[in-house]
Amino acid sequence: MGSISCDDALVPVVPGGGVTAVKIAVLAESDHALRGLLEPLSDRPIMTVRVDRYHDVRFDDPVPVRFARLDLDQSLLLYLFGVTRSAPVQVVDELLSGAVGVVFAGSARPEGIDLHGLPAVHAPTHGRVCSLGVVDRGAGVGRAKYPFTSLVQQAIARRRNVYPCTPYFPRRLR
Amino acid sequence: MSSPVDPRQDPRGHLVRPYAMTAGRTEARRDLALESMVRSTRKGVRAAPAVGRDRRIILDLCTDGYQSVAEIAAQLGRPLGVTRVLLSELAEMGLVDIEESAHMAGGEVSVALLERVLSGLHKL
Repeated sequence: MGSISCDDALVPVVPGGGVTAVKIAVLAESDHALRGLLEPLSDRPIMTVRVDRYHDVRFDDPVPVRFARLDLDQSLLLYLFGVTRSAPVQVVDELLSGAVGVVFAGSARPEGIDLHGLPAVHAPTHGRVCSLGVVDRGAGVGRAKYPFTSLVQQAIARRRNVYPCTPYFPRRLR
Repeated sequence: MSSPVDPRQDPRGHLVRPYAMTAGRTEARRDLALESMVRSTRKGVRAAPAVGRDRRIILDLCTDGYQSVAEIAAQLGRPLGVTRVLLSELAEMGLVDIEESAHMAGGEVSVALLERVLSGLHKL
């Protein structure tokens, strides 16, 4: 009978093996606000994917969606997908489908968007966060990540509490 | 009346409709979320040189680890719909493994997973 060495109990770390991905949607008042929110958080350039505008006419005139990938740990990725408020409703629905929640980046919550009961927070993008961008990545992480931590806390609270809490919005938006 | 632009003069090179890249298919046979994760199988790595340009790029991108559907579409430079068709085709051929997003696999993201997300965000 062969003996088992300690090394047999070790397994190689496979990059990306068994990963889980979670998504948060961002609806921004402008592309500038969107980039200002995503760029400080990501240690790699944010990317753009073109999403089909119509469900019935495939491949027609796709809409650019910006996104950032955050590697939170070895097996957990957070994707932040964002569009401006002028994006068609089908594209917004694509982002909201399966998302943990929505961050509104900019001055006001947009009207006429069905959030399907998702938690939402408001991220004012005036001042530093908005102006940081690629130039000063890292310095504004604390401020840029606050809306997302706040959103996830709210999502956790909702799942633990049968009576969902009221989404937080600044007084002037109530 | 302006004359039509000569396609040979287009700086982007020879242009075709997106569905030409999917052999006319416009709908993926598999429901793929933006954040679904894709990785090449060993069979896919071996087959990469012989599957055509776009499929080869996908297999190369996903050789070293998982890439999301959105990342693949962005790096491939194709619309999401085209990428979904190509990926579902590669999955049917056993050339890629697809790991569904947390939402699609379990219906709703669990509290335990959200706590991991929160912890990860705090560490950024």
